[in-house]
Amino acid sequence: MSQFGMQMPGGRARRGSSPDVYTGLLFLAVAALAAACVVLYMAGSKVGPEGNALGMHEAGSPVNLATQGR
Amino acid sequence: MHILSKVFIVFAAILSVLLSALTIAYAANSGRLVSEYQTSQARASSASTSLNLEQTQSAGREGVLRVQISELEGVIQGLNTQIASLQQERAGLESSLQAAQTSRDALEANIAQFRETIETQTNLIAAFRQELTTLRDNELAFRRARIQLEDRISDLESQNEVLTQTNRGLQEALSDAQTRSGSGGGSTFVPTTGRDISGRVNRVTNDSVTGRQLVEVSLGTNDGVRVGTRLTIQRPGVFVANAEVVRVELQTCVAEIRQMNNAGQPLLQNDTAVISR
Repeated sequence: MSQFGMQMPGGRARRGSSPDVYTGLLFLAVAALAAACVVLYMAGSKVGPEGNALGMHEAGSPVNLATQGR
Repeated sequence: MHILSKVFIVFAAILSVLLSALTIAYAANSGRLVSEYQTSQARASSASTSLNLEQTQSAGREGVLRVQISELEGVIQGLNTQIASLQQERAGLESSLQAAQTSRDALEANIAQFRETIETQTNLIAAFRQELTTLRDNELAFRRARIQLEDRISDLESQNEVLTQTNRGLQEALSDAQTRSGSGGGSTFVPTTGRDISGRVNRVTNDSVTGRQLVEVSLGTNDGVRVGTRLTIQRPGVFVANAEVVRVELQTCVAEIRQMNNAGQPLLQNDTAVISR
């Protein structure tokens, strides 16, 4: 009946939630994490084996870094 | 909760996981690099130390080697001097060798000439020896013939003396007989001494043994012919031959031709034979 403008008890119209301050904090957190990932990826590419930021040097094998200037 | 918040939460979760992985990897790699860097520094330090030590040792060795090089340069200089002197000596020896080879060639030529001379002299000596042998044989034969002739002469002289004595006795007997018979009648004997006696060639033959010509002449011991008497055979105005009596009889004798005339005149029967004086 509400579509006819009739106010029914408990029949308040439902509305979507709006962004609040937590949404903004989450955005900042995501931005900070993205920036940290980019920076750490660039740093890890310099010290990782063959320029792989996620790779790890094997024990007992010589260290093989990425070629400088690449 | 707003949908955007939910999306942010999801992204935040994903980014946190990724960040944790990157952090773990970075931490591990950085630690490894630090340890490797320290190890490298230690190696570099030890290498530098050893390099310094090696440089010190090499400096010492370099000094020693420099001393040795200087010594060897002195030795090389001495050897060069010795080489120069040896080269001069070699040049002198080569000239001496050439001179010696030249003298050797000359000596070999002289030796060859001497050898030929020796061979020639050897041949001459052999010829002389042969000639000397022949001369000795001839001399021996000549001496034998001389001895035989001397014996023959002795015999003939003895025979001549006997005949001379006999002739003298006969002449004395003849003079006695003439004295006893007086001057009347009888033939007169004319002594043959000092007169030419001639005869005739009766026959001309050849000796079958010696091959020489023999003539039988009408002269004998009665005419004073003896063995060895030389006769001259001739024709009027022509000399034919000289002959020597080899056998004698009372009326005839046999003479052997010793010399023929050069005009080619043959011996003929009835040629005149005259006793040569």
